[in-house]
Amino acid sequence: MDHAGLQDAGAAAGRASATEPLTTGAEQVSLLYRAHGMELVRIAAVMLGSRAAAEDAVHDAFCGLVRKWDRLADPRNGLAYVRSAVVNQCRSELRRRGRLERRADRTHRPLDPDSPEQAAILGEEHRDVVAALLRLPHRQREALVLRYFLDLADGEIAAAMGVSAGTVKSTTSRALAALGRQLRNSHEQPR
Amino acid sequence: MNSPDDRLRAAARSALDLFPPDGDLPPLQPPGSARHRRRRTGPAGSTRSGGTNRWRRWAAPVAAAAAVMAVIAALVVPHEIGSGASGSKPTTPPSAPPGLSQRRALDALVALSVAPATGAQYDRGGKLIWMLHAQELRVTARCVAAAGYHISEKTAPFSLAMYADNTEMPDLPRIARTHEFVPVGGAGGPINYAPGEEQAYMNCVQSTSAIYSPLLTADRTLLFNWMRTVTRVQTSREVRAALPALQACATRYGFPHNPYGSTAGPIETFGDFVAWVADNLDGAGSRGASQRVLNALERHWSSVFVTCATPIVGIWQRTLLKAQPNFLRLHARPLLQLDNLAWKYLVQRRH
Repeated sequence: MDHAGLQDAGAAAGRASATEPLTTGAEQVSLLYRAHGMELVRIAAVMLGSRAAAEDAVHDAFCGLVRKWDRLADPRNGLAYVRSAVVNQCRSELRRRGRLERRADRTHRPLDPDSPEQAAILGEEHRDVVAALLRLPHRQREALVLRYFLDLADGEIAAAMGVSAGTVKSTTSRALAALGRQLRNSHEQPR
Repeated sequence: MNSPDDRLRAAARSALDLFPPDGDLPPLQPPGSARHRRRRTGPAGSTRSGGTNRWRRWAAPVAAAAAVMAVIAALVVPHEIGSGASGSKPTTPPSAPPGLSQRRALDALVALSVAPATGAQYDRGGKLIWMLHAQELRVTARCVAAAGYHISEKTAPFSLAMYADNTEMPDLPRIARTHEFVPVGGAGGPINYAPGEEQAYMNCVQSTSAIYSPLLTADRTLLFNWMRTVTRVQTSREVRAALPALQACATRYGFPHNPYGSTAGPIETFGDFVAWVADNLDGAGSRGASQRVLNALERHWSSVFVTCATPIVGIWQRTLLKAQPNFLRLHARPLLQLDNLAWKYLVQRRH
């Protein structure tokens, strides 16, 4: 989905709240979930390397939105809020996983990037790029995933990541350079 | 289509096909509904049972260290019973049989590995995983040798900082002592292997992994369960109430200044604080600072980290120390299974 499409759908959810008799936050969030849930699952799946984990992260983010709905100053901010919440859910999951992976780390073996589940996320032909993405620092990965897999503008990426637009630009630039190095290394060094 | 940009765009198009906007989504279970916490996903994407509030029912505080040792000692009892001839009546041997002290040490290690309440315990518990890695490497090396190739079976000596986790389980006394915020890496550069050697190695890794995966899975399952408790404690009201003091302390040391130029927001989690300290070190490193400068920076920032983190970490560690004995009791059976696997694979088969 392109950026304009996303905006339209987000605005539609917001408009619905203003014009239709949707009485509860849960109903409005449900609408937002149906409109945007899958695209958020997509980015979470790329960040986490697991569809099940992605669905959990997105589900929890939307449930958080239900709880906070009444405190949102403008319901049209719901999509921005939940996007940010998904990013945070992914960060938490990756931190938790990082802890566990450090404990399970093997000196000689790549783990997650080459797992069968990860390969299944995007297929063999994109395995290299996804594996390289997963090796980037979290913030660099987030910037690239939000830009390329959700087609967001700098301002929206900044809002989702909780940083300034300038930081998004520099992070994305560093991330692309790092990704290029990772991809070159993966071709030159079998392990 | 070789640039990272092109490849990312291609991967994104593929993702759009796999996750179409109108694709199937699991139903949204709003908070409060019985099925809200329908499942949690584990580190490998496995489904785990839903959380419980058992941690709320923890018993009255006990002298934590002593209680842990009591639990660990209780774990040892079945081994002592098992050492009897018939097993009909538990008997306590008059003196410790050979290997018992080794077994006790392993029991303690297992407990610390799966349910560390402090950073120091977390670091010490990492030795179990180090032992597993060392044993795997030995077995893999033998397998590779049988295929006509050679890899070193030497493992780097265990060090407490080897598996350090400054975000969730910072070992503040060690950091204060060593001024080492992150362990110095010693992995060395990548090595090129001939295709045949690569294949032999990968085959051996696969077979070795199959041998030890039950042990690793058991360790990770218990640790994962314990870490859910850790997360709950670290996001509790009491810990959150300590965040303003953490931010005030960080501000005294320059927060939110960041050499990367990022705008650091308010410190809303302990992880935000860790990220700020890490950014200050990473920023210098990525700008090509000399080793001498990096050492000086690490000394400074490790002191800042310990100074500011001590109050908040103290709060959650006290709570976790109280929680730890009950967790070990509640998980006594899987803990014992893990203990037996560790004994079998890491001690008995080593010789």
